[in-house]
Amino acid sequence: MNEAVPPAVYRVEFNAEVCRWCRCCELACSLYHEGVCEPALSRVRVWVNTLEAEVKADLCKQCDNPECMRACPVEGAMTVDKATGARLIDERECISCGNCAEACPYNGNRAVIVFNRGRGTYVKCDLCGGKPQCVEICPHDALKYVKVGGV
Amino acid sequence: MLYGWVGRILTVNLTEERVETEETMRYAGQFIGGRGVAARIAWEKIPLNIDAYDPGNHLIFMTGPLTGTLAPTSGGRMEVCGLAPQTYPKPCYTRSSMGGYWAAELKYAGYDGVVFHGKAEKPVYLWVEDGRAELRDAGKLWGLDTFATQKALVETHGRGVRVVCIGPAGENLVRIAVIQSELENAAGQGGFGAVMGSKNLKAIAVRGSGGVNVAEPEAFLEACRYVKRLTHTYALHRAEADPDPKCKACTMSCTVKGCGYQVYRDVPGKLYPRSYTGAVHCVAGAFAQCVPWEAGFEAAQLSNLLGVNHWELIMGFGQWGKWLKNLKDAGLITQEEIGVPLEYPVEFDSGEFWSKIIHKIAYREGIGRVLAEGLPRAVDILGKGKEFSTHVAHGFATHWDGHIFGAPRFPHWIVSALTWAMDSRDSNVHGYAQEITYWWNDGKGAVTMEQVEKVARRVYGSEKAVSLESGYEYKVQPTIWHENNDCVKDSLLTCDQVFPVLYSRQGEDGYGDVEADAVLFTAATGIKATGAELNRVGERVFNLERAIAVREGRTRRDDETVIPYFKKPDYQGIPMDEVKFLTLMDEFYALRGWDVKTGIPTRLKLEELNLGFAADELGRIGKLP
Repeated sequence: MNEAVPPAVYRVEFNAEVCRWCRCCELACSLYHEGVCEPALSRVRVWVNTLEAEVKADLCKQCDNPECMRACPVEGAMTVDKATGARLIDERECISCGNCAEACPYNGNRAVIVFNRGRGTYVKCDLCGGKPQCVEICPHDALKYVKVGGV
Repeated sequence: MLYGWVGRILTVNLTEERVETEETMRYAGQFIGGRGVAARIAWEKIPLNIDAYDPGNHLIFMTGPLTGTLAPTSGGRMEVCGLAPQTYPKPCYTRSSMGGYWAAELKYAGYDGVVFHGKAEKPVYLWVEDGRAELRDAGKLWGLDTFATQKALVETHGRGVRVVCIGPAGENLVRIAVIQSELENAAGQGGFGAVMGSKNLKAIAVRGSGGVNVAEPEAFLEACRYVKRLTHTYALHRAEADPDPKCKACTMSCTVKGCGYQVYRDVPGKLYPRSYTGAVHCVAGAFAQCVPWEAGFEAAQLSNLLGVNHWELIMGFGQWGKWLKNLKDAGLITQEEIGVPLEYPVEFDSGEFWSKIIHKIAYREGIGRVLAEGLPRAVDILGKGKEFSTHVAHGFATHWDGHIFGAPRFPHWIVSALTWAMDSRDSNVHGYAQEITYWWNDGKGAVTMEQVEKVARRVYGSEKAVSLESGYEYKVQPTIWHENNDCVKDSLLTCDQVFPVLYSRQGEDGYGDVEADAVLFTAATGIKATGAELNRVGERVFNLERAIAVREGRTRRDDETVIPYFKKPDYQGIPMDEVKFLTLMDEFYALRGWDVKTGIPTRLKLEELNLGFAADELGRIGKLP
């Protein structure tokens, strides 16, 4: 990736204050993309620690200067969605080296860039082409689809 | 490939410390999951004439095909079943449903359910992770409260571990001990916490990295969006009571009127020098009315921590059931007998008082030894206070019967009475009585009585099922419809507060869509079913549960034990007309295909429902009419 990456346009933002801990965003994501209700395959994770009344989320920030894209060794394996600005992994080109997952500074829980064992590829949030399923399903508007710049 | 179900049920023999598995589909084809599959397993495996604490009792945790999926409200629901110490006058088979995350995690770990039997020699817990399960020593956990137990197991096994467990109340065989998970999810009714205690089973910790396959992902996503849209408006009419719906861990934005789940952080204790992060929800709201508020919150958290059933505390002994207060006011019990000083002027609204009582119950100290037996047994032990008892029947205190909540009104509580008569525990009657109460709301609600009648005509076959002037007429049909539907939703599982979707603000006529469960079930499992077909499965489950009860000795005479309670005037001063109610019971048994005299299902009915095996067994023990 030598070319300059265009800045982010949209991203999904999480508001812990209004989240009701249901985690249906995880299921909507994995169902939409992988055809299964499986949190471990979701590109958004919500970590609920009820006993401390704490909730945190891992989700792609669609960084302006994406480390994941910089780390990808394969020309064309990571691209940018023209309409949404989403940073995409092209699964046909992905060689599953995992450099993107290593490079992402928000991927400590391996929940932003996720390895799909079944398909042998890395997957990440693609903003669902402009209609993020996690945002659509969230019953409490804890997830919002936000325009952050560009276009 | 299996869709909806994940395929295996864990069977844990605690005596021999042996863990085995069996195929879910051996049961699920006929009984779906949850309550249905549990009843089938109970029929096969629970021996006759044993006590709830006998090692032979089976404690069944069962999820359904919608558990762990995106289906609105289904996420973490499961049913806990077995012989219950709380039922009265003797332990009987019953059930308690709970939500949270544990049930979904169990499926992600590869299991649809866990069945325990036997008794461990020493305290143990079950550790389940991705297709493996083993019993571990719980010596260090025994004695810990439910939050500390969960924290300790997360400490041992790492983040993402979900736990169901018991507190000291379960360990000390308190008949009203719960099985607890997270802050405020519990299998509350039945006293199943004590069954765990009797088996030396402290907890089940689960982590899974798998998932639940869905037959038609696109159709299922669409069905979830549809049901969410249909019921989203639920929040609107509830918003009048609670503009900030707080129900946690749920995919809906609804909140039960006045019952919203509220989480509070670091509330200082009044009795103990510590602070509490916890929640109040449903009847625990009564604790929040204590003076001062913090002391009530502490009492609510102590009942979560020690594992004592909120319902029996509040609707029986406490502030709404007021049994203890009435006993004291009538001079039937002294402060010395209670053994906890009453603080003037707050007395029975004192949070500290209830905290002390809850502690005594959990550890069976003083008056706690009596109260730990549950309300009806406490009355028997003391030999007084029956006239103030809110015990309706079968061991359970008042619930949507027209006496304490200021609802439901006559004639709607006739359906409650009939449902109560036939059940093995308190009937929630949410689907019928609560829904009419909230949606119609004495003419001030989101739907008019004309609309409620129209929905009744469509779903139950006649507007007389609900109309205000209908009296005892046409009350059997809605009762049966809801009993069957309750079995369906407890088997899928879906939330009792939202399903069946009878009413909605979406359409002009106020009608929701009672096919919603079937649409979700079909898209999830790939098995085509209509609402009517599922209702038929519900009928099978209901009849099998009745066969279990009959095998335990239940007859019409036990059903009639609800009558004295309902003969007490309701909140508007209207008592049950016993003669009319007995006629209604005749009609119920006839329409159910049960023997009118004994209330026992006939061979014809059982065979029609593919329950020939139950007819054979009842025949063998001489109980078939």
